[in-house]
Amino acid sequence: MRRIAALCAILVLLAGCVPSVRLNERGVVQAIGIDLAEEGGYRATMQVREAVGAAAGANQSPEDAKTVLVEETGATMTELLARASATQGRQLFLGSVRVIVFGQEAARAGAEGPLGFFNSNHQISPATLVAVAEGEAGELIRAGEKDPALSAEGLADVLESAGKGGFSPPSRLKDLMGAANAENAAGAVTLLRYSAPDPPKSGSPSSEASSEESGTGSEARQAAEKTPEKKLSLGGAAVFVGHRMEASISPAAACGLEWTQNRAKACVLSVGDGQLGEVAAVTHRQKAKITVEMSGEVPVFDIRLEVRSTALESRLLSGGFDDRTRRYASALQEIKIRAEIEEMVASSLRRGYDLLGLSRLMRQRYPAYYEAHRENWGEALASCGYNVAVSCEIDRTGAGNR
Amino acid sequence: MTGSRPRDISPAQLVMLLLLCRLFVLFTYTSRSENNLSGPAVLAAVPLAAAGALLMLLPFFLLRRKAGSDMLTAFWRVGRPFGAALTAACGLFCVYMAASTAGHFSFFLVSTVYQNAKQWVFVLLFLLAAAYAAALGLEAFSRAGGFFFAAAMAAGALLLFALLPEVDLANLANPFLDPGALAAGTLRGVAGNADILLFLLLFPRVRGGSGKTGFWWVALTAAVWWVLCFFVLTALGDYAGTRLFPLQTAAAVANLSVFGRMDLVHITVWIITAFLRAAAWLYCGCTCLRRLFPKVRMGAASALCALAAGIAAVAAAPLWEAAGSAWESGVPLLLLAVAAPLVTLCFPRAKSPVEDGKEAAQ
Repeated sequence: MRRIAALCAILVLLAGCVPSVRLNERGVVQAIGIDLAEEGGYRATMQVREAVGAAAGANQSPEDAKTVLVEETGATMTELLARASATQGRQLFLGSVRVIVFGQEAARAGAEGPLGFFNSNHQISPATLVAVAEGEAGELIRAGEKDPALSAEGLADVLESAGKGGFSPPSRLKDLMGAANAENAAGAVTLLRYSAPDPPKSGSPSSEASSEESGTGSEARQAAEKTPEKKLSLGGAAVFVGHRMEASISPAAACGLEWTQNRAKACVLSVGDGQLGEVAAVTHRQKAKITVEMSGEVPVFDIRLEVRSTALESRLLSGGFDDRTRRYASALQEIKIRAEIEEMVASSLRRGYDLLGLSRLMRQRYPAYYEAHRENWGEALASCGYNVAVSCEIDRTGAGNR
Repeated sequence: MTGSRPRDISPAQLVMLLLLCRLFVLFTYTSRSENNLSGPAVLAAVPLAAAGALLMLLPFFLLRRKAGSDMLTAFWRVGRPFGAALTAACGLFCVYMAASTAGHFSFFLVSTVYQNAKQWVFVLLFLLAAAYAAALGLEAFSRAGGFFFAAAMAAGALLLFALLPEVDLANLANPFLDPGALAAGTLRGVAGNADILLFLLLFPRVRGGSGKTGFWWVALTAAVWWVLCFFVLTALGDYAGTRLFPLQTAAAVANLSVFGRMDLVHITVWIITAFLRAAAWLYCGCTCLRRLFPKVRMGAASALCALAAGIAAVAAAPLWEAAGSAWESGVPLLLLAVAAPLVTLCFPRAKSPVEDGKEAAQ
């Protein structure tokens, strides 16, 4: 027993042989934006949380830490982070990175270097969220310094909520790298738009009202032309082939993608027209199935979707929420979802981007066809047939709806 | 219990110990080490490799009928040079496997957890602990193995439960599409199953062991291996091929609200299996060494074997890589686990005196 205790004591003392870094000597990176640097290589903009003062530990209060922005350039990510560590005087820790955002230019140029770095770094979780920003990623990350909604947590919340709500694909490092590593597959991540809403056109009632309120002449023009604040919105999805962004699809097409992958779990469906009014429902069950059959020499993919939803809110033009209204609203839902799926098919599959993993299905069902078209799978995909069948039913209503 | 020696272990303890030793290989399985095997094909290769392992156990059980459970004793009965050569070969193999375990252990830790640490520190600490466990004897670390087995199975079940939301059956493909790759993977699975020799060397110390012990070990190991591979493949899909340690990646992806990331659970279980595996191999190395030099005490034998394993793991890197390729080809394992028992069977002197006594009585 004494020998065991002595051995344990020796082992504990030997813990000092392992190099360690104190928490207040670390910069905890929470969000990274990657853009192309003017002089070549990459420019990274990072939100880094640093401990303030000597006291740093698990029970640190918010006042004991602050978020700083760190910008650095480098030919490679390793060099970039080493430089950032040196200039900051802190060792950067990547284990708490929540979001990685690529600028659109950097994504289109090819993100193999940064993605390979993040994927091989074991500090970074495979479940780390990845997105592409229209424009510069650095601008989005910098905005997070002042706007909590654009902090690392805010961006992560946006991406996670968008994924759960069926607005955009699950944008994780694992999903993107898996698609990049798969044969003949395309990956998709959320496309973020950080821009000001379009200003009202002159001559429109809102612009005339604002000029009346603010007076006449140049002051009115300045008030009307004052740049509104930029806001974050979802711009659809960025389509990657390998490690390069090749295209983008609209928000509606991104929703269509989520429908076909059974990922639009608690999705809000708002439908209406001049005859019905408006009905808002939330999906509670969804089942999508994709099959393939050969029609002569051409594969035809059948995309079938069943959706069950709960109506939560209605603004009906006439009558109550009876069976006829329910069926009509369900039909409108079918039209909407079918349109989204068809838009997804037109903007991705018809352009040769296999976002649905149809190459795997063909390899299983018709391996000979797949082998014959392996090298030009994109072209084959564009010429395939696609049938979309959607069945919707509002089978539950919320309290207060009849 | 009448007639059983003290410090023998039960068949269940041996099965649990060897299953954990085999799990170590799976935990440090690297996708890049299986270049000829496509992901989904491993699901067919696992049961086929298990069948191959059972076939490899047959020569030993044939020898056991004539010569008793102790393979080393049977070698020595044939002749001193024959026995010494094969015992030395087995001992070297055991030291190599202990060094391999220590090397993999330190490689994994410096790759994933302590990237700035010195590899020799982990090798030293690890072999120190394993040598001490080996010196305490088989019963000591086998009892610990039973406890760790329960903990490992619980941790594995938790991990798989947490991975359920990530499972996508579309990631599976027909494993028989590429028969060549499947055959290569099966052969690799059989050739890489060095624990077969561990089974043969530890079997004499099993109380009431029989062919069923071998069967249950192979079957249970294959079942656990298959389930883990299935979840890794379906949860990670093509992403598994981009990571050095797919199972550790799956654990990092698995997320339970109470525990957060599960890769800490994976690392804990893996360290335990590494410790038991190294202890078992060092113990077998000591056994072989003491057959050659009976006057060497267990503690000294354990220290010598650990020292040799440490030197092999740390200092002899170029030799290590060359030796590693030779060992992993499966030829040494086939020679020691299959050819040696079969050759020994051909010698009438190898028969156990008990068997001779029975024949004389008849």
